[in-house]
Amino acid sequence: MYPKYGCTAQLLSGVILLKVCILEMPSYTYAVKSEKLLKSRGYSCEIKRSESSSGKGCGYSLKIFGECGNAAEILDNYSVPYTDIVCGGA
Amino acid sequence: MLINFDNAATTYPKPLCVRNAVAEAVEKYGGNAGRGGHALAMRTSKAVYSAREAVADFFGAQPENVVFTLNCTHALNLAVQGIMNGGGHLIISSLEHNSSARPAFELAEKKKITLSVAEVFTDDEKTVRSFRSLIRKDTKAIVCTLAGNVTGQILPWNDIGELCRENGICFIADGAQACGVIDVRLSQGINILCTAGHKGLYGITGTGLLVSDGKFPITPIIQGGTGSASSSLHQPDFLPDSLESGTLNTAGAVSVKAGIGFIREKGIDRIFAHEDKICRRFISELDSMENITIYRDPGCRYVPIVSFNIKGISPENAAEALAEQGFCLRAGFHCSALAHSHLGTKNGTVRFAPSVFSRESDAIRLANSIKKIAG
Repeated sequence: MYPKYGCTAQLLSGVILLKVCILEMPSYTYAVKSEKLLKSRGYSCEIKRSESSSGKGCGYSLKIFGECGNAAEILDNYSVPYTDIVCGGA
Repeated sequence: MLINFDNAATTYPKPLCVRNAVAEAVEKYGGNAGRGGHALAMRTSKAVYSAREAVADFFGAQPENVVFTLNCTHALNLAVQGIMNGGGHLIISSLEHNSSARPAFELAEKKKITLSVAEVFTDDEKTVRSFRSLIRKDTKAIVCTLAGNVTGQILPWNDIGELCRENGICFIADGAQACGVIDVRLSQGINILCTAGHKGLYGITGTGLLVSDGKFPITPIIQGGTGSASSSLHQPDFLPDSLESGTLNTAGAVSVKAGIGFIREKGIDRIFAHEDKICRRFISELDSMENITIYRDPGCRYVPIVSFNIKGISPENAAEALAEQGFCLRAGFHCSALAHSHLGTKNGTVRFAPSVFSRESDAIRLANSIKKIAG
């Protein structure tokens, strides 16, 4: 439904939902590293405690507000592992 | 009044910024780092990450490759046992501390690995040749101290690192006596740096570091809670979590960060120059005494440590006599059986190790006391 590396605004019953991308991170350490990498490139994001959608248990995710843009590519370039990327409304 | 010249064991006093950072950590960072999402846990996690960044920046690593340990021994055990898991040939130097020598000998005795000990010479080229001559097809790692903890001899680690690189061998470096007084970077050929946080880095006791370049996977020897992949019964396979089971020493990590900040502010070269000057003055005071042996060679480089013996007086008795006058020096074998065997010091030595806070005047007073004891 959503493009993998770029979420678009969704119009639902006339209300524009805020766009977010959620990247599941393997650990807090990687979550902060990702947050710093993306914030330094103009992304608005924050670390949230989350349950893994892949059943690995509790962990941390990085919530990006707005377009995901090439966030995943940036993390790939820095060899930052993330287990999943989910796009949706805030 | 106590005058501490046992800083090679652990530095004391600690800088004010370290003491303040620890107090702040105990007051503010009371959560469990990397576990939970509430404000206290997140604030604590952030503080630990910041410490990770400071260490990474200091040694030229990535923050995720910085592992907080209990001490250098813990780090070396993780590295030696974790790298040699699955067998292979290991080379260690003849100056290794028990923290790497004991796990190495234990693995060899149990026939899990084969082990060679490379003789260290006062001539660096001979030392490198000694390591080179022992390399085999199945050599997996070299463990070498950057500076020995008994005499302070600095080893040619750049060359040993190059040797490892040429042969695809993992270079595990023990930086316990070098870090904080000489510039140590992973880019100097080190794959895994193990060091204490409480010695030259001026953190509190109960702190150590394993800093990896990420090229050689380290099999964990301790498993447990990491705050990640919690529903799995398997240990995570990524750093730092794979090697950091259990609750972290938050105050310790924060203290190491503050200690590194202190070193940066003072300047590592200035710290070395100050301590080296005290060592040289101390040696010059004792040099003329015929019944005092100082374990230094003019052709060698040393970190600020001086080992000595007084003829006819055991190291322990000498240290005890000095302790009665308020001087704190370490006597005996310094947890370094190999090094003392190498030196031929069958009763050990007395070790003088100043810190950035030591004063030359105290070293002269100590030397005068030693002269009186030596008669």
